[in-house]
Amino acid sequence: MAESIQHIISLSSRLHSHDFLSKSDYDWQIQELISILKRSNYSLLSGGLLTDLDPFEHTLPFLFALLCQIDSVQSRTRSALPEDVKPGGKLWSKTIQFLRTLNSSQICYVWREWCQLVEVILRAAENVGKPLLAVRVTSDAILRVDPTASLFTSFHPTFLRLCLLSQAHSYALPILDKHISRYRTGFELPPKNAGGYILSSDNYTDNHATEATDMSTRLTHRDLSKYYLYGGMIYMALKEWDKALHSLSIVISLPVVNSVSKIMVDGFKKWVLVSLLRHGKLATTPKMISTHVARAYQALAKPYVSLADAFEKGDHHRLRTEADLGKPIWRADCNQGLVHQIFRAYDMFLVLKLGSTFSALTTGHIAKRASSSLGSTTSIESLVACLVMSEVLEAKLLQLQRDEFPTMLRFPTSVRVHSKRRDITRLELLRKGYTLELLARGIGERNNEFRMGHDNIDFLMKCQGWPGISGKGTQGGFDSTIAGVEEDIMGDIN
Amino acid sequence: MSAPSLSQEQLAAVISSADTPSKLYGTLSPYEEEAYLLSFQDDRQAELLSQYYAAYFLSHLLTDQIYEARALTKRMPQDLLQTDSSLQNCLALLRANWQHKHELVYKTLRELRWSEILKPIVQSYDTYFQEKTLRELSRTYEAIRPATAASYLGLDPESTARGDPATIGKLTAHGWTRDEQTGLLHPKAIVDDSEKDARSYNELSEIMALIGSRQG
Repeated sequence: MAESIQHIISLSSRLHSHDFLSKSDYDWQIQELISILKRSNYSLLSGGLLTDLDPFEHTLPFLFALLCQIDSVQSRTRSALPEDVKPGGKLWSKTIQFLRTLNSSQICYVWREWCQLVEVILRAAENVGKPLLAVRVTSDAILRVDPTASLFTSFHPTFLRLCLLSQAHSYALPILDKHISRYRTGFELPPKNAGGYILSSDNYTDNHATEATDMSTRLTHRDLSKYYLYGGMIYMALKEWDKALHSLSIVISLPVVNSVSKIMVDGFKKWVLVSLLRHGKLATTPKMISTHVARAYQALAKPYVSLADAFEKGDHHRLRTEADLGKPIWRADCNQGLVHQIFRAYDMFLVLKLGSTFSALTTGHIAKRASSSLGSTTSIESLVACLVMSEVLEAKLLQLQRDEFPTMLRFPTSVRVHSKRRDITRLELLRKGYTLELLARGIGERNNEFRMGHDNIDFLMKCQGWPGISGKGTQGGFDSTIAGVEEDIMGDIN
Repeated sequence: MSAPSLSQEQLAAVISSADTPSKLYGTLSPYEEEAYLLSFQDDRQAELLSQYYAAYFLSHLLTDQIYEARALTKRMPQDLLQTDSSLQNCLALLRANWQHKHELVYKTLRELRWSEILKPIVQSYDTYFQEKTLRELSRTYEAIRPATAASYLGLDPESTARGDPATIGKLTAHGWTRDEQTGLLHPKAIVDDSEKDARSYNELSEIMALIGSRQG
């Protein structure tokens, strides 16, 4: 037995000094180690392994030993979450130690085990009502293992739920702000900078494609809709309305087979309210939503649609009535906070609308048009000043000498408005640009995965002895040849 | 290397050594789990917890994270929040900030009792809030009565209205002018940040290059 442990440690140590190994040797050795660890029984992986081993030096043995001991204590206590696994327990502290110090380049070889471990600590923290203890360590660990945070796993929704439960919204942002671009291939190639290895052998890809499929079978439509709904809720808490709308748009436009899910209806209700808070009207419904789904939303969220209608028509009295009548509904749907914010947004958009009509007016004029809730000209000035100070409204206030004279509000010349809009557009372009870059990278990776990249196509054409391909490049008749190859490849896939 | 455990000495060292608000926030943030665990202990150190959470709360305000500051007040030990004077001060400060009641913000910062360890951060926030409001006012008003400006900036209303040189000097130092006839103050408009502008253009160029490379 001792020899086997020595063998594991020896193999693991060799991996750590992988600078001296070739790519194929590294791949082979890590597979061998994983295979030994998977075959190892409890007696081998128990004992002092967690005390003696350094989680960074021996990431894989440490991970398997942790999972084995968690499994053992679960079996012994006949509990999914025994005391040892909960915060303060022996295995909890070892897991936290592991997540903080693991060698991220090795985790991508044991994706399933990694997900299992993270799920255990997330569930344990939630179970004892201390979700805060798991969120930051999980967020940090996810980013170390997957710096782009583009891979969706089974624990992503749970992670966001814990962020919501613990009110630690900002801890979710490093993950949530990244675009998810990979679902099915839970495990692909390790990061390109992971020890300088880009593993591409058939054996490697095939093995892990199988593992990835295992992982993906556990991911469901529900996981995805929950993730984006929770994401939307986190952005709502931070009043990042644009991002919240984006997340909720994904929830409400997910593919539907027969009927819409409850999560999607909840998402639609929040989407209506966030639309009002962000734009002062209902945002355009995503084009991906089919007509029958849109009709279902309208029917299932009728009080929300009526509220939005009153808001859009500027009918303050009706808005108040709808809000009062719907109180039990808002409470049951946990949307009271959002509905409460609607009234301030109503006043805000009223001022913004006036700004698009007039070039200048006094606070007295606004008072005549505003709802009674705004009250005096002083409170109107405070609201307008607050809007301008927080850069929601582009205007200038001009106070007169004496208090009794109302303050003048001047809306800017077109040049300034255009300048502001230009800045907003530029920022929007930048955001889209980063998304595009991510998409381009994803396409590149998929091309490699499906062997659709230029290199592979060139290689394929050379192997088939097609004309027009020479070592000098692909000039001369390239277009027609490529067109033929693409058809050929698509034919194979079909 | 793990950071030293949370203690009053460590907290004092962190507060005195952080030379920027973001560093203060960054250094205090990793202690939250430890503080959270401490709060469940029977013999918890209430004073340490109060000082830690108050300092951490203020570091949120110093880094313009008001929504997260509000969330922090929900993560704090709720029994301590209800009884501890420093944390009650934090709540009052949050409420004043949330409601954009500038006068109340200054009043909370200047007139309520803060523990010695927190005083440097409270002072920093006072200065930060005043400077931030001055920038915002410069963008918002073409002409403003001295009394209104004083209430926004936490200045003495009487001396500002009187045109006291010492008080007005603080504003004219930022390019504001005073109309002697009307007594109105005219803030100076803020110039666009050209450096930021140039950076955005560079980033856009990179994106266009990326699109170009994909078209080929």
